[in-house]
Amino acid sequence: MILHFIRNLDKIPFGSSEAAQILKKMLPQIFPEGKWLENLEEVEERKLTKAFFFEEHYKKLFFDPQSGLLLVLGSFDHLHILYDGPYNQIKPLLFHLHSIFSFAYDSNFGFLTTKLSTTGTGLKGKFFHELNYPKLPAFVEAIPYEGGYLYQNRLSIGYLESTFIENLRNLREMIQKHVDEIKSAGSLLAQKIYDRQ
Amino acid sequence: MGSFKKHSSCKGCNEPVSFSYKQIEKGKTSCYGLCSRCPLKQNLLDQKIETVSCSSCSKSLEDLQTSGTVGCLDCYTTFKETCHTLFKALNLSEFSPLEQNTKIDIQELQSSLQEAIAKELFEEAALIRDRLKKITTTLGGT
Repeated sequence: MILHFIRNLDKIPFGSSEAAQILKKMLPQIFPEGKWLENLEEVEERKLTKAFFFEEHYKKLFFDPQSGLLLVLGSFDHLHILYDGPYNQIKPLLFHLHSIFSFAYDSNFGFLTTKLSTTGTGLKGKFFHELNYPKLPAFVEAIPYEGGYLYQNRLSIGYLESTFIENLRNLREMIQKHVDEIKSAGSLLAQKIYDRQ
Repeated sequence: MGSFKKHSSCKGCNEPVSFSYKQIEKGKTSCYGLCSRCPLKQNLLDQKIETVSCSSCSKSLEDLQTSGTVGCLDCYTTFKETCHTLFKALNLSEFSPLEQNTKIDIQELQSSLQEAIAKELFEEAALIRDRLKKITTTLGGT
Protein backbone atom coordinates (compact mmCIF):
# COMPACT_ATOMS: atom_id res chain seq x y z
CA MET A 1 0.00 0.00 0.00
CA ILE A 2 1.26 3.45 -0.87
CA LEU A 3 1.07 5.99 1.92
CA HIS A 4 0.99 9.73 1.29
CA PHE A 5 1.66 11.99 4.25
CA ILE A 6 0.73 15.56 3.36
CA ARG A 7 2.16 18.39 5.41
CA ASN A 8 2.34 22.18 5.24
CA LEU A 9 4.78 24.37 7.09
CA ASP A 10 3.04 26.44 9.74
CA LYS A 11 2.33 30.12 9.05
CA ILE A 12 3.48 29.90 5.42
CA PRO A 13 0.78 30.30 2.73
CA PHE A 14 -0.11 27.36 0.51
CA GLY A 15 1.73 27.36 -2.80
CA SER A 16 4.39 29.72 -1.45
CA SER A 17 7.96 29.44 -2.77
CA GLU A 18 9.20 30.27 0.74
CA ALA A 19 8.26 26.76 1.94
CA ALA A 20 10.02 25.15 -1.03
CA GLN A 21 13.18 27.14 -0.25
CA ILE A 22 13.19 26.02 3.40
CA LEU A 23 12.60 22.39 2.45
CA LYS A 24 15.24 22.48 -0.29
CA LYS A 25 17.77 23.62 2.29
CA MET A 26 16.71 21.27 5.10
CA LEU A 27 15.97 17.94 3.39
CA PRO A 28 19.59 17.16 2.35
CA GLN A 29 20.65 17.83 5.96
CA ILE A 30 17.99 15.47 7.36
CA PHE A 31 18.63 12.76 4.77
CA PRO A 32 22.39 12.97 4.02
CA GLU A 33 22.22 10.06 1.57
CA GLY A 34 19.22 11.47 -0.25
CA LYS A 35 19.40 13.27 -3.57
CA TRP A 36 17.37 15.65 -5.67
CA LEU A 37 16.10 13.94 -8.77
CA GLU A 38 17.07 16.72 -11.11
CA ASN A 39 18.62 14.97 -14.05
CA LEU A 40 15.75 12.61 -14.69
CA GLU A 41 13.99 12.63 -18.02
CA GLU A 42 10.39 13.78 -17.83
CA VAL A 43 9.23 10.26 -18.72
CA GLU A 44 11.25 8.77 -15.87
CA GLU A 45 9.84 11.35 -13.45
CA ARG A 46 6.32 10.47 -14.51
CA LYS A 47 7.06 6.75 -14.14
CA LEU A 48 8.41 7.31 -10.65
CA THR A 49 5.51 9.40 -9.43
CA LYS A 50 3.05 7.03 -11.08
CA ALA A 51 4.55 4.15 -9.10
CA PHE A 52 3.43 6.04 -6.00
CA PHE A 53 0.04 6.91 -7.58
CA PHE A 54 0.98 10.58 -7.37
CA GLU A 55 -1.07 12.53 -9.88
CA GLU A 56 -0.61 16.14 -8.87
CA HIS A 57 1.69 18.86 -10.10
CA TYR A 58 4.94 19.11 -8.24
CA LYS A 59 7.99 21.33 -8.07
CA LYS A 60 10.78 19.02 -7.02
CA LEU A 61 11.47 15.39 -6.12
CA PHE A 62 13.84 14.19 -3.42
CA PHE A 63 14.61 10.52 -2.88
CA ASP A 64 16.20 8.92 0.17
CA PRO A 65 17.47 5.44 -0.80
CA GLN A 66 18.06 4.42 2.82
CA SER A 67 14.44 4.77 3.92
CA GLY A 68 12.83 4.48 0.48
CA LEU A 69 11.03 7.78 0.98
CA LEU A 70 10.12 9.95 -1.96
CA LEU A 71 9.62 13.52 -0.81
CA VAL A 72 7.70 15.74 -3.18
CA LEU A 73 7.61 19.49 -2.97
CA GLY A 74 4.08 20.08 -4.14
CA SER A 75 2.74 23.08 -5.96
CA PHE A 76 -0.24 23.42 -3.58
CA ASP A 77 0.65 21.54 -0.40
CA HIS A 78 4.22 22.12 0.71
CA LEU A 79 5.34 18.55 1.25
CA HIS A 80 4.14 15.08 0.24
CA ILE A 81 5.96 12.20 1.87
CA LEU A 82 5.40 9.11 -0.26
CA TYR A 83 6.16 5.67 1.09
CA ASP A 84 5.60 2.11 -0.03
CA GLY A 85 6.01 -0.11 3.02
CA PRO A 86 4.89 -0.89 6.56
CA TYR A 87 3.67 2.04 8.64
CA ASN A 88 5.76 1.03 11.68
CA GLN A 89 8.94 1.49 9.68
CA ILE A 90 8.10 5.04 8.63
CA LYS A 91 6.78 6.07 12.07
CA PRO A 92 10.15 6.98 13.68
CA LEU A 93 11.09 9.02 10.59
CA LEU A 94 7.80 10.90 10.78
CA PHE A 95 8.42 11.64 14.45
CA HIS A 96 11.84 12.91 13.46
CA LEU A 97 10.41 15.23 10.79
CA HIS A 98 7.80 16.50 13.26
CA SER A 99 10.55 17.37 15.72
CA ILE A 100 12.37 19.42 13.08
CA PHE A 101 9.55 21.19 11.25
CA SER A 102 6.56 22.97 12.67
CA PHE A 103 3.70 21.73 10.51
CA ALA A 104 0.34 23.50 10.25
CA TYR A 105 -1.87 21.85 12.88
CA ASP A 106 -5.21 22.79 14.38
CA SER A 107 -6.66 21.22 17.52
CA ASN A 108 -10.09 20.94 15.86
CA PHE A 109 -9.07 19.68 12.46
CA GLY A 110 -5.62 18.08 12.80
CA PHE A 111 -3.00 18.62 10.07
CA LEU A 112 -4.16 21.34 7.69
CA THR A 113 -3.95 20.72 3.95
CA THR A 114 -5.36 22.41 0.85
CA LYS A 115 -7.82 19.58 0.25
CA LEU A 116 -10.43 18.95 2.91
CA SER A 117 -10.23 15.24 2.07
CA THR A 118 -6.71 15.01 3.48
CA THR A 119 -7.09 17.38 6.44
CA GLY A 120 -6.90 15.50 9.73
CA THR A 121 -4.20 12.85 9.74
CA GLY A 122 -2.91 14.40 6.50
CA LEU A 123 -2.79 10.86 5.23
CA LYS A 124 -3.86 9.32 1.96
CA GLY A 125 -3.64 5.54 1.61
CA LYS A 126 -3.82 4.08 -1.91
CA PHE A 127 -3.77 0.62 -3.39
CA PHE A 128 -4.59 -0.85 -6.78
CA HIS A 129 -6.80 -3.84 -7.52
CA GLU A 130 -8.36 -5.20 -10.68
CA LEU A 131 -11.67 -5.89 -8.98
CA ASN A 132 -14.40 -3.32 -8.42
CA TYR A 133 -15.47 -4.44 -4.95
CA PRO A 134 -19.22 -3.98 -4.49
CA LYS A 135 -19.44 -3.51 -0.70
CA LEU A 136 -17.11 -0.58 -0.08
CA PRO A 137 -17.18 1.09 3.34
CA ALA A 138 -18.11 4.78 3.31
CA PHE A 139 -14.61 6.08 4.02
CA VAL A 140 -13.14 4.58 0.83
CA GLU A 141 -13.65 5.33 -2.85
CA ALA A 142 -12.65 3.28 -5.88
CA ILE A 143 -11.51 5.26 -8.91
CA PRO A 144 -11.18 3.55 -12.32
CA TYR A 145 -7.44 3.34 -13.01
CA GLU A 146 -5.61 1.57 -15.82
CA GLY A 147 -7.62 -1.61 -16.19
CA GLY A 148 -8.56 -1.76 -12.53
CA TYR A 149 -9.43 0.45 -9.60
CA LEU A 150 -7.46 2.71 -7.35
CA TYR A 151 -8.78 2.45 -3.82
CA GLN A 152 -8.20 5.46 -1.59
CA ASN A 153 -9.70 7.10 1.47
CA ARG A 154 -12.30 9.83 0.98
CA LEU A 155 -11.50 11.57 4.25
CA SER A 156 -8.79 11.41 6.85
CA ILE A 157 -10.27 13.48 9.68
CA GLY A 158 -11.41 11.70 12.81
CA TYR A 159 -9.14 8.69 12.34
CA LEU A 160 -5.91 7.58 13.95
CA GLU A 161 -3.09 6.93 11.52
CA SER A 162 -2.67 3.34 12.70
CA THR A 163 -6.42 2.53 12.71
CA PHE A 164 -6.79 4.15 9.36
CA ILE A 165 -4.02 2.10 7.73
CA GLU A 166 -5.28 -1.05 9.42
CA ASN A 167 -8.76 -0.43 7.94
CA LEU A 168 -7.35 0.00 4.44
CA ARG A 169 -5.16 -3.07 4.78
CA ASN A 170 -8.14 -5.15 5.97
CA LEU A 171 -10.12 -3.91 3.00
CA ARG A 172 -7.38 -4.93 0.58
CA GLU A 173 -7.22 -8.40 2.16
CA MET A 174 -11.00 -8.68 2.00
CA ILE A 175 -11.00 -7.84 -1.71
CA GLN A 176 -8.27 -10.40 -2.37
CA LYS A 177 -10.19 -13.02 -0.37
CA HIS A 178 -13.29 -12.21 -2.41
CA VAL A 179 -11.30 -12.73 -5.64
CA ASP A 180 -9.92 -16.06 -4.35
CA GLU A 181 -13.42 -17.22 -3.41
CA ILE A 182 -14.74 -16.33 -6.88
CA LYS A 183 -11.82 -18.19 -8.47
CA SER A 184 -12.27 -21.30 -6.32
CA ALA A 185 -16.07 -21.26 -6.87
CA GLY A 186 -15.37 -20.96 -10.61
CA SER A 187 -12.99 -23.90 -10.64
CA LEU A 188 -15.38 -26.03 -8.52
CA LEU A 189 -18.15 -25.30 -10.99
CA ALA A 190 -15.86 -26.15 -13.88
CA GLN A 191 -14.89 -29.42 -12.17
CA LYS A 192 -18.59 -30.36 -11.66
CA ILE A 193 -19.39 -29.66 -15.32
CA TYR A 194 -16.34 -31.70 -16.35
CA ASP A 195 -17.37 -34.64 -14.04
CA ARG A 196 -20.90 -34.62 -15.49
CA GLN A 197 -19.54 -34.89 -18.99
CA MET B 1 -6.87 38.43 -6.51
CA GLY B 2 -8.85 41.04 -8.41
CA SER B 3 -10.05 44.04 -6.49
CA PHE B 4 -9.83 42.31 -3.10
CA LYS B 5 -7.62 44.03 -0.54
CA LYS B 6 -6.63 42.54 2.77
CA HIS B 7 -8.11 44.53 5.66
CA SER B 8 -6.56 44.32 9.10
CA SER B 9 -9.28 46.09 11.07
CA CYS B 10 -13.08 46.04 10.96
CA LYS B 11 -14.75 48.86 9.02
CA GLY B 12 -17.38 49.31 11.73
CA CYS B 13 -15.51 48.99 15.02
CA ASN B 14 -11.76 48.56 14.34
CA GLU B 15 -11.69 45.03 15.83
CA PRO B 16 -9.52 42.37 14.08
CA VAL B 17 -11.07 41.26 10.79
CA SER B 18 -12.85 37.89 10.63
CA PHE B 19 -14.02 37.99 7.03
CA SER B 20 -14.39 40.19 3.97
CA TYR B 21 -17.45 41.41 2.12
CA LYS B 22 -17.46 42.14 -1.55
CA GLN B 23 -20.34 44.37 -2.55
CA ILE B 24 -21.32 45.14 -6.11
CA GLU B 25 -23.65 48.06 -6.47
CA LYS B 26 -24.48 49.72 -9.80
CA GLY B 27 -21.41 48.09 -11.31
CA LYS B 28 -19.14 49.50 -8.60
CA THR B 29 -17.28 47.00 -6.40
CA SER B 30 -16.52 47.75 -2.74
CA CYS B 31 -14.67 45.56 -0.26
CA TYR B 32 -15.06 45.62 3.52
CA GLY B 33 -13.18 43.90 6.31
CA LEU B 34 -15.51 43.09 9.22
CA CYS B 35 -15.29 41.42 12.61
CA SER B 36 -17.72 38.66 13.52
CA ARG B 37 -19.83 40.73 15.97
CA CYS B 38 -19.96 44.05 14.19
CA PRO B 39 -23.43 45.64 14.00
CA LEU B 40 -22.47 46.85 10.54
CA LYS B 41 -22.44 43.19 9.45
CA GLN B 42 -26.20 42.92 9.90
CA ASN B 43 -26.76 46.12 7.94
CA LEU B 44 -24.65 44.79 5.11
CA LEU B 45 -26.40 41.42 5.23
CA ASP B 46 -29.70 43.20 4.67
CA GLN B 47 -28.28 44.61 1.47
CA LYS B 48 -27.38 42.65 -1.65
CA ILE B 49 -24.16 40.86 -0.74
CA GLU B 50 -22.52 38.81 -3.44
CA THR B 51 -20.28 36.56 -1.38
CA VAL B 52 -18.52 35.93 1.93
CA SER B 53 -14.82 35.38 1.52
CA CYS B 54 -11.65 34.68 3.46
CA SER B 55 -9.94 37.96 4.34
CA SER B 56 -6.48 36.56 3.56
CA CYS B 57 -6.93 34.85 0.20
CA SER B 58 -10.44 35.96 -0.86
CA LYS B 59 -11.59 32.35 -1.30
CA SER B 60 -15.39 32.34 -1.24
CA LEU B 61 -17.60 30.01 0.73
CA GLU B 62 -19.25 28.80 -2.45
CA ASP B 63 -15.84 27.99 -3.91
CA LEU B 64 -14.92 25.98 -0.84
CA GLN B 65 -18.14 24.01 -0.97
CA THR B 66 -17.82 23.15 -4.66
CA SER B 67 -14.09 22.46 -4.88
CA GLY B 68 -13.47 20.99 -1.41
CA THR B 69 -10.20 22.88 -1.21
CA VAL B 70 -9.17 25.82 0.95
CA GLY B 71 -7.09 28.78 -0.25
CA CYS B 72 -4.96 29.37 2.82
CA LEU B 73 -4.55 28.40 6.47
CA ASP B 74 -6.86 31.27 7.55
CA CYS B 75 -9.72 29.70 5.57
CA TYR B 76 -9.97 27.07 8.33
CA THR B 77 -10.73 29.83 10.83
CA THR B 78 -13.02 31.81 8.52
CA PHE B 79 -15.05 28.80 7.38
CA LYS B 80 -14.73 26.75 10.57
CA GLU B 81 -18.45 25.90 10.78
CA THR B 82 -18.69 25.04 7.09
CA CYS B 83 -15.63 22.79 7.31
CA HIS B 84 -17.18 20.95 10.25
CA THR B 85 -20.44 20.52 8.36
CA LEU B 86 -18.64 19.31 5.23
CA PHE B 87 -16.58 16.81 7.20
CA LYS B 88 -19.65 15.47 8.93
CA ALA B 89 -21.53 15.16 5.65
CA LEU B 90 -18.64 13.48 3.85
CA ASN B 91 -17.73 11.10 6.61
CA LEU B 92 -21.34 9.93 7.00
CA SER B 93 -22.00 7.86 10.10
CA GLU B 94 -18.34 7.07 10.59
CA PHE B 95 -17.49 10.60 11.74
CA SER B 96 -16.00 10.73 15.18
CA PRO B 97 -14.84 13.99 16.76
CA LEU B 98 -11.12 14.53 16.49
CA GLU B 99 -10.83 15.37 20.19
CA GLN B 100 -11.94 11.85 21.08
CA ASN B 101 -9.31 10.39 18.81
CA THR B 102 -6.71 12.80 20.12
CA LYS B 103 -7.33 11.35 23.57
CA ILE B 104 -6.80 7.84 22.18
CA ASP B 105 -3.74 9.19 20.36
CA ILE B 106 -2.34 10.38 23.69
CA GLN B 107 -2.87 6.93 25.20
CA GLU B 108 -1.16 5.32 22.24
CA LEU B 109 1.77 7.75 22.45
CA GLN B 110 2.10 7.16 26.18
CA SER B 111 2.33 3.42 25.68
CA SER B 112 4.86 3.94 22.82
CA LEU B 113 6.86 6.14 25.19
CA GLN B 114 6.92 3.43 27.87
CA GLU B 115 7.89 0.88 25.25
CA ALA B 116 10.74 3.08 23.93
CA ILE B 117 12.03 3.66 27.48
CA ALA B 118 11.87 -0.07 28.25
CA LYS B 119 13.87 -0.79 25.08
CA GLU B 120 16.27 2.03 26.02
CA LEU B 121 15.58 3.88 22.76
CA PHE B 122 16.01 7.25 24.41
CA GLU B 123 16.23 9.32 21.25
CA GLU B 124 12.88 7.99 20.04
CA ALA B 125 11.45 8.39 23.55
CA ALA B 126 12.45 12.07 23.55
CA LEU B 127 10.67 12.62 20.23
CA ILE B 128 7.51 10.89 21.48
CA ARG B 129 7.66 12.97 24.67
CA ASP B 130 7.90 16.18 22.61
CA ARG B 131 4.95 15.17 20.46
CA LEU B 132 2.91 14.33 23.57
CA LYS B 133 3.81 17.70 25.03
CA LYS B 134 2.71 19.44 21.83
CA ILE B 135 -0.67 17.65 21.74
CA THR B 136 -1.44 18.21 25.42
CA THR B 137 -0.46 21.89 25.17
CA THR B 138 -2.73 22.31 22.14
CA LEU B 139 -5.60 20.57 23.92
CA GLY B 140 -5.05 22.62 27.04
CA GLY B 141 -5.14 25.81 25.00
CA THR B 142 -8.62 25.14 23.59
